[in-house]
Order: sequence, then C-alpha cells, then structure tokens
Amino acid sequence: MSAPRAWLRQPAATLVSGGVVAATVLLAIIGPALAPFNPERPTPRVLLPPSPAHIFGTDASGIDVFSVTLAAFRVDVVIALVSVGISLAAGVMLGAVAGYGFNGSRAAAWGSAIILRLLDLVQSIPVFILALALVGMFGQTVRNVVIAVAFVNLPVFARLTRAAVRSVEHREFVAASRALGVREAGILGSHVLPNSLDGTIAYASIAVGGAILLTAGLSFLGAGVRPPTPEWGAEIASGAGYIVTGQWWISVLPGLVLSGVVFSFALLGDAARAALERAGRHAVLPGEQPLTVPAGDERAPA
Amino acid sequence: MAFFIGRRVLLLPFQALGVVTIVFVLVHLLPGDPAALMAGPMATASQIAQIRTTLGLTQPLPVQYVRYVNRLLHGDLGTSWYTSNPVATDLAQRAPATLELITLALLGIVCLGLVIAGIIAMRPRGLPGHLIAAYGFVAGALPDFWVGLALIFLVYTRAHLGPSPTGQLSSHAAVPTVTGIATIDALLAGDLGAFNDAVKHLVLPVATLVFIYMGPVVRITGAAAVRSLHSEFSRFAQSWGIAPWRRRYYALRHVMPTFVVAVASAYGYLLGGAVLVETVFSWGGFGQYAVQAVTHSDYAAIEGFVIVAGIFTVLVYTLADVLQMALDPRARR
Repeated sequence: MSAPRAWLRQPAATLVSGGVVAATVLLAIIGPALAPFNPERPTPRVLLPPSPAHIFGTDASGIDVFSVTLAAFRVDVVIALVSVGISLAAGVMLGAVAGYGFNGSRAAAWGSAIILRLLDLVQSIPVFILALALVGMFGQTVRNVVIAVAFVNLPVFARLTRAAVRSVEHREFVAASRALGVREAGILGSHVLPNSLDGTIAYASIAVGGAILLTAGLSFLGAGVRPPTPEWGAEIASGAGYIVTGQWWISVLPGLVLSGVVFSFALLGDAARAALERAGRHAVLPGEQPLTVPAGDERAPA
Repeated sequence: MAFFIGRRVLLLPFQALGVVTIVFVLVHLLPGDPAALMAGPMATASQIAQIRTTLGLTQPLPVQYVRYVNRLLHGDLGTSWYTSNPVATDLAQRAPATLELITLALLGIVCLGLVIAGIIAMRPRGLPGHLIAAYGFVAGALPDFWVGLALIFLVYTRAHLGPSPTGQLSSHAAVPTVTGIATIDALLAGDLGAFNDAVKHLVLPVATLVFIYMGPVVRITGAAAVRSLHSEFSRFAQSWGIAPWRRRYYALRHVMPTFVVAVASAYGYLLGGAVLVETVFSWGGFGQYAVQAVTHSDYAAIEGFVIVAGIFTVLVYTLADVLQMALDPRARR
C-alpha cells in the first residue's frame, strides 16, 4: 500500500490544513481546560485591548476574549461534527436508495423519483433561511441547532451518494455478485456503497467548515447558541456594537480563529478530492455544478 | 425553444406549491397548539379561538391544507403578533430594500465575475489564476457578518469615510417612502443629497455581499473556463489555425451556461446572506424582519418569510433554466 507515501507527497498546504484540523479536534476536547480565565464569569476589567495578560483583550462584560475563543472550540466544533455526522449517515442512506436501481426494479425507480423531488423541495429554500426558520419554529436550543444544520446539509450528501452509486452500479463486480446470487440489498450494502463513499467523505470535511459558519451565523443573530455559553458567532455579536467606537478585538479576533478553522477543513477536503482524482477514482464532488440548483440529470424539468 | 421554455415555466406553480407544502408540514410537526403559537404569548383565549377558526384547525388535515393554500393564493399570510400587522404587508414594506441590496450585489458579482473569468481564461497557470483560487477559498471561509464588521471598522471607524453605517439613509436625509428603496425614493423626491447619502449607505453592505458570494461563482466559472480551453473542440480549433482570441471567445461562450447557473445560485445564497448582513448594517429589510420573527417566536412571520424566500428562489432558478435553454441547445431536452 502506497497510501502513507502518497500522503507525504501532498503539497505543504495539505499538511498544514491537516495539522490545523487535528489541532481543532484536539482543542474541541481540551480547549476549555486551556482557557486562562473563566469564559463565562463577568469581571470589572471591561473592554481592555489586547495585552500580554489578555492576548485577545476583554469584552464588554470583562470576559477574556481568548478564553471564550478557546472554550468555543468545544461548542462550535462539536455541533458541526455531530450535525455533519447525522447528515452524512442519513444522506448516504437516502442517496444509496435513490441511486441504486435494484436490478431495474419499478418500485425502486418510483422511490428514487420521490426522494429526488423531496430533495428538490428542501433545496428550493435558501440554506441559511431554512436553518433559521427551523431553529425559530422548534426552539432555540443547541439540540435544535444541530438538527437544523444536519437537515439543511442532508440533500447535498444524498445527491453526492446517489451520483456515485449510479456510476458504480454498472461495474462488473456488481454483475458478478448478482450472478452469484447475492441479494440486491446485500450488493448495495457490501459492494456498491463501499466503492462510492470516498468522494462523499471528502466533501464531509468541507461541510464541517460550512456547518461551523452556519452555527456561528445563527448564534450571531441570537438564534443559535445563547450567551453565556462560549460560542464564536455569539462573541462576534457581543463585540459588534463596539466596532464603531474602536474596540475591534472582541469581534475581529474570534472571527479570524473561526475562519482559520473553516479554511483548513475546506482545504483538507479539497486536497482529499484532488488526491482521489489523481488516484483515478471517480470522486463525484460539487465544484462543477453548484449544488443548490438541481444539477446534472435532475436539471431537465421533466 | 418556446416549447421547452413554456414547459419549464409551467413547472413553476408546482414548485411553489412544493415550498408551501414543506412549510405546512413543518408547522404541523410542531409540538403544541398551532393556534396558540400563531397568536403569540400575549393572546387571549378568544383570540386563540378566533385563529383556530380562521385556520380551520378543527377540521381534518387535508381540508386544512386546501384552506391554507387558498389563503396564500389570496395573499393572506396571517397576522404577526409582534408587529400586529398582516405578515404580507410587513414583508411587502421590507422586501424592496433587500431586493435592492442583493440585486446590486448580484450585478457586482456578474460584472467582476466575468472580468475574473476572462483573466483566468487568458492565463490559467499564471499568478492571477493562483491568487483568484486563493481568494475563492478565503471568501468561502470568512463569515459574511464578520467581513461586514471588519469593513465598518476599516472604512468608517478608522478611515472616517462615509456616513454612519446603519440603515439605508441618514436621519437628516429622510425622504417620503414610495417604493421602499431609498435610492429610488430619493430620486422620486428630487432630493439629490438624499440620493447621494443612500448610495453611500449601500457601498459597504453591497461590498460585503460581493466579496463573500462572488467566491463560488469565480471558482466554478474559472474551472469551467480552464476545462473549456483544454477541451477537444478548443484543440481542434487550434489545429485548424484559428486565432487564439477567437478560441478564447469560443471557450467563454461555452462557459456561459455554467456561469448563469453559478450566478443564479448566488442569488439564492445572497438572500440568506442578506439576513446576516442586514443585521450588521441595521438595513431594516426582509432579513432583519426574519431575525425579529425568530427571536420573538413570531410563527406567522416565520412561515411568511420562508414561503417568500422559497418562491423567490424557485423564480430565480426558473429564470436561470430559461436563460440556459437560450444559451445551450443541450439544455433543451
């Protein structure tokens, strides 16, 4: 197996983004413990600019911005990972059923058409607006933020899996399994799916970044994670009113950390996709067609 | 071609009905009494009872669904308990300001995006190409609300340029509201000072939206341009000795359908982005109304903004499909 060597041949950017992603996951576990100050308890030391004691300064409640930023890793990254995990699992199942022909079964064709129309419907509402409405309707709790983010991401995973399954299901090993008498569900589960997941998993890394942006956006509006729970978007919001008076650090610095994390997840996903392409795998990934427009063979309005 | 376009347009009402159905299903999945939710926390028992009759909540679900669609067809989106206005009136008041914001941003994306795609097509492997690729990644990783705040800090707080970045007009430049679009209202009132002020208020929010939402357009169009230049038809043209500028023209022509799709989906994303950017700039449009609805659990208003946003997107995608059929014969299937 040449996998480790292929990894090392990746450009430096991949190693750096991989390192940041690994550090991000680590910080999600130990971040709160590293925070030098309590990220939730107000102090009288309000609106201090960055200094050696408070490298990100303090906010209007006298809370150390660096401590909030560190502690928020656990909140934002865990919400993003869990919600992408849910959309990945549900999307792969839905996409597999929608993509696989079950040896030309009529019922499968109908099921596939119904699933595709449902995905179209969900995707006809802009992602952020749908997530905002879901949280607004079902209540502003962390659990509902996770569900909303998972729900709006699900169609993309389902479409990616469907496209990959469709490109695999006519390969010889599928026909061979069928000739050997393997049941259709068994072929799908143990032969087709394992060969069509790589592109979807590469995309999952990009989606984690997107989920972080979505969570932060909801919290920025006061519709997601609520203070005093440390969260990047909520901290940016708490500093928004001080931008015009010159106390920039409260909003700007947590935003830079957030962007660095999102950037690394996107870069890692892109590198994984490029590596799959070089390896000659049929990585079906967004990039050529934007995903919100019903793309590919679904675009034909018939 | 007219046949294909007609068929596509006929699909539109069904897609709109789909959006409405999703909202109907979501509302009925909610725990609790829909009438009490719609009425808000301050409602009396008789108000709740009245809403229950209006919504027909005592009747079977299919009847409720038909009544719901019928109400929407008559432009009745219910009443917001928070503003105590009909949701349709609230949205109609606020939508023009948002439409102005995202349409100007879209125009910026189209103009700049074409220039950038052209640059990539000229020198796909040069420094500009790499810079543009890097920009695509950065724009995808920065939160739009953060970029808005950063711009306010740099341009207003530090460089002291422009009016205070809140709202569509400075308070001293008020003009009578006709269309709800401050620039047009200022022109209608013949007040050039107010027009100038309104334009200055537009610069930062539009720049924020263009910066963030041009990223995917540039990435997708640039990749398509490079593919097109290295395609077989392009090499065939080269082997026939066709001038390079002409080959680039063919390639750009070939990229147009992709560009249209990318721009159309940007329009949908812009509406979502407007929610955040409007909050940063206190724009007072559709997006801020949505936020207010969510933070006050104003269910009728939430329903209203989802339906309007969904129908807007469906309209934009229909337009994009029609444009694509005009540009690409293969889309006429």
